[in-house]
Amino acid sequence: MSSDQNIIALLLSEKDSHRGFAMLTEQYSERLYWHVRKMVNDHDDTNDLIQDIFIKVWTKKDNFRGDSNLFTWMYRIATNETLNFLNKKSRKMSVSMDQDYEVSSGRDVHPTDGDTIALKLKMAINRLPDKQRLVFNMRYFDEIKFQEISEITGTSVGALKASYHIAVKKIEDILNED
Amino acid sequence: MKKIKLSDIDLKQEDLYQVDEGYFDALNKNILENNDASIQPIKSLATRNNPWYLGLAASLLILLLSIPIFLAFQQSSDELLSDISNDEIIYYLDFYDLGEQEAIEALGVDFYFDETFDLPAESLQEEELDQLYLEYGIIDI
Repeated sequence: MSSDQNIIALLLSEKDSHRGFAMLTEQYSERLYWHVRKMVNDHDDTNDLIQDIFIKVWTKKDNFRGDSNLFTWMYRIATNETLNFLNKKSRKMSVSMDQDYEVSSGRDVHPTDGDTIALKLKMAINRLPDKQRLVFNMRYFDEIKFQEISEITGTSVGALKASYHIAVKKIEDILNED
Repeated sequence: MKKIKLSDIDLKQEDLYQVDEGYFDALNKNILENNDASIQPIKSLATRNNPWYLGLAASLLILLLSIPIFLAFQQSSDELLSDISNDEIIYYLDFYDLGEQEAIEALGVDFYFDETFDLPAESLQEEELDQLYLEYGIIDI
């Protein structure tokens, strides 16, 4: 029995569900943190979202039917929660706040020669649309296969590959801007 | 100047975003604590998911228990009076000074004085009346 199967068995049992949940948290909290953090940037927002995601995982655990693996199921919940959060945040933003958003996302920060390539890359990623950024992060940093990303996002593999290559092109263009 | 290619960059997410040391240990603890706190109301709400027949069984039990109480209140007034001693009834009647008619009604006596009843005085002769007055010691006014 794999680790995930053990976790699922415990999680769905009445007696040991709390132990299963503790194992699930241990196994996935850090990975999901990074998945969310790369999308929302802010640590405190990420921290709050992660708590909500795990509560949602707990309340929806009985819906897990094993037709997808645990990793895919967890990422799907985390992705949906994150995109919902970003949508709400963007709706709340007034025109006067747009400038602040651009500063926080690094759009109007002009790195000097001394700035690291890391800062440039972060700025470039933040300029991608939410869903394109999501695909880029999952493929580039998490090295998740397109097939698995397809199961998580419910998007075709072809569309994901196209989205990823467009994102790479945009980022490289930004990295090479003066 | 050589163009920067993404494939040439070897950066990890930790190089772009920082977290405090030991944060993930605390995160796991916080998630479990938060979840425990959120489970409490869920548990209490879970009682709403009890099957419908449990509610029905509880209602029937209450109904069955209430039948003897209901029947006790249905005991007749005769049965109630039979449990009370004559002394207590006399004391009650003396104390409350009931009128004759009220006392009769209270005791449930089924006879009454016919207020329309007249003595057949006019059918007696003068001599017969005098005889009656004399017999009962009544002085003719």
